[in-house]
Amino acid sequence: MDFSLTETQELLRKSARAFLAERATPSHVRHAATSERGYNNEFWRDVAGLGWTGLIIPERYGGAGMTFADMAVLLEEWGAALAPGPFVETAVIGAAAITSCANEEQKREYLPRMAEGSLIVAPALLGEAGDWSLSSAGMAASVTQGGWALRGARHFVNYADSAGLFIMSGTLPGVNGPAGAFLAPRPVMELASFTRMATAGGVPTFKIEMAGASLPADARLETQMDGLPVLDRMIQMGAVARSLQMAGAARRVLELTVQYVSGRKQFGRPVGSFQAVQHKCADMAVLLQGARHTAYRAAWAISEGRPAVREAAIAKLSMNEALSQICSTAHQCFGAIGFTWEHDLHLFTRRAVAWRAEYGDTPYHRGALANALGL
Amino acid sequence: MRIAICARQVLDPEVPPSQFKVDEAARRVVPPPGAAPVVNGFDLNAVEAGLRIRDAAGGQGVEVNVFSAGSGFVMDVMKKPLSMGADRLVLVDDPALASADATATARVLAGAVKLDGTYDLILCGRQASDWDQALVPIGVAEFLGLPCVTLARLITVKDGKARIERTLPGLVQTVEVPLPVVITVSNELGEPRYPTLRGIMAAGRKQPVMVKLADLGIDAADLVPKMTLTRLSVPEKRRTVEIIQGQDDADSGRLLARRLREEKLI
Repeated sequence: MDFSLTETQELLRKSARAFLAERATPSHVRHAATSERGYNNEFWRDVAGLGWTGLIIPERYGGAGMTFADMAVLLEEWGAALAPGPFVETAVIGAAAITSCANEEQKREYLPRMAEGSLIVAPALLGEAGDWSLSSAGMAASVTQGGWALRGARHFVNYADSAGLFIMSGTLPGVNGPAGAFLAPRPVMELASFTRMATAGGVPTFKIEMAGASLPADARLETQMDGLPVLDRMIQMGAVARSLQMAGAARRVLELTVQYVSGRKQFGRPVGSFQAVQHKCADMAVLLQGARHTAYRAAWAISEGRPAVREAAIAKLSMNEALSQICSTAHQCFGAIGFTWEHDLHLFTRRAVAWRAEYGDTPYHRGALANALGL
Repeated sequence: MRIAICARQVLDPEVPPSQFKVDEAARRVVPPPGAAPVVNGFDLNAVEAGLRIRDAAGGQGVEVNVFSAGSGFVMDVMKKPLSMGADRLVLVDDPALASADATATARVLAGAVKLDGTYDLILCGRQASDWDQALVPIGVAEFLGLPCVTLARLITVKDGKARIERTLPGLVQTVEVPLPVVITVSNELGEPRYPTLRGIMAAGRKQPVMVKLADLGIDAADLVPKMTLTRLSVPEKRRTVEIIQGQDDADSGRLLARRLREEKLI
C-alpha cells in the first residue's frame, strides 16, 4: 500500500487547489450558502468543464475513467475550499451507483449528462430523525403491475430541488433484508412534496414525501455493489467522501490558525510563540494527520474494489472526532475574532456539524465497526 | 507552425510574507519548509498565448513545446504546461544551472530551442517572479539572432507575420513583425486556462525530453555568472504616522486631502 500521490494525482491536486482558491473563495461560499440553489450554476459548469464531474465515470460514457483514489485527491481539495455544489451526491455516489448497478440503457441515458454537469443526482437514503439504519421504515416499495410504487418519506436530501435524478432507498415487500435502491427521474417526482429543512451546513436540504410514485420495473438497481448491498456501499462511499472533505477542511482550519497565531501579537510577540498555543496547534496537526490517513486508507480500499467496511467506519469516526476538535481548538486560538460572523472560521465549524451527521454519524459507524469486528 | 515557450520553475511567490526569509550571510533566499515551487506565472501566460494561437488555427498544424533550463525540476510542477495542452516538454537539467545568471540561462534556452529545430514563435513570460530582471527573453532573442517584442497582451499570427498588441502604462501599442520572433507575454493577455482532467491524464503519460549541456555544446564552466551578487537583504519597513489636526472635522479633511496630494497619493 503506497499512499504517496502519483504524478497525475499531484497535478490534479495542484490544479484543483489553484482553481478552487480562485473560484470557491469564502465570499463565494457565503453567497452560495444563502442562495436558493445552494451553489452557483456558472461555477458548476466550469467544474464540469474541467471534467471533474465525470472523474470516475467510464470513458465510454463521457467520463475520465479515473479511480476513487484519484477522486480522493479532488475531494480533499473540495473540502478545504468548502466548495458548494452537489459534487459528492452526483460525481461520487451517483456516478458509482449507476456505473455499477444500473442497466446499460440507464447508463447511456444518465452517465454522459452527469459527466457534462447537466444532470444532478440526489441520493435520498435517510429515514426520519437521521436514522442511517437501512432497515428503518419510512419509504416502502411495493410491486405494481407496471413496476414499483414508492410511498413514504426521505429526509435530509441535499440539493433535491436541483436534482434531475433521485436514488431512493425503500424497504421491499415481504423481504426481511436489505432495502432496495431505485432510480427516480424528476418527472416521477412531480407529485412528491419537497419541504426545505433547516440545517447547519448551508446546503439546501429537503424532506421528500411520496404518495405512491410509480416507477418502471427496471428502476430498481442491482442489489450488490462491490460485494456489498448497494445501499450499504453508497453510504460507505458517502462516508469516505465526506471524510476526505473533512480532512481538507481540517487542513485549511489548521493553516488559517497557524497563519493567525503567527501574525497576531500580544504582550509584544506573536501569540504563536507561546508554548500553550504551540501545543494546541501541534495537537491539531497530530489529529489531522492520523485521521487523514484513515480517510485515504478507506479511499484506497474502495478504489481496489474491496468491501472496506472497517476502513470506511474508521475513517468517518476518526474524521468526525478530529474535525470537531480541530474547529473547537481553532476557535480558542482565534479568540473573539473567530466567533464573529465576518470571520470565515464559522463556515468550517458549521459545515463540520453537518458533515459529522451525513452518511453515518458516530453511533452508526461505531455500530458498523463493531459488527465488522464480530462484536 | 511551431511555437516554443520558455518556462521557469520558481519559488511560489504566494508564500506568506511571514515565511519569506533571506540568509544574508549566504546571500540566498531560504525556501520556507514544505513550500513547493511553481511555474513562473508570466510563463503560464506565455503558454496560454501559445495555446490560443493553436486554438485559433483550429488546433491543427500548430505545435506548442515548452523549454526550461534549471536544476532540481519537480516534475508535477513542470508538467503543468503539458496538462494545459502543450505538446512536449524539453528540460535542460544541470546543477550548473542552479546558479546561472540571465545570460547563461538565455544561452542554454536558445541552444535547446535551436537543437529542437526551426521555430516560428518563441514566447516567454515578461519576467520571472524570482529576480524580476526580464532579461532572459531578450538574451534568447540575441542568441538566436531574432527580433524581440515585449509586453504582449494579444498576439495574432497571419501570413508569416505576428501582430502584437503591447501593453504600456496608459497606452496600447500595436506592432507587426515578421516571423520568427521572440515575444514576451504579459498578464494582461488573460488568465492561463485550468488543466482539464483529460489534459492532466495526458500530461501524466508524457515524459519530458531531457537535454544535457553537452548536447548543446556548452561547457558548465562557461556558465559561471558574470554578475556577482554582493548583498541580499529584505528592505526595512519604515512606518511613520502623521496626525493631521485641523480646527474641525471639515478642516482636518481639507488638510488631509492636501497632504495626500502633496505625496501624489491622490
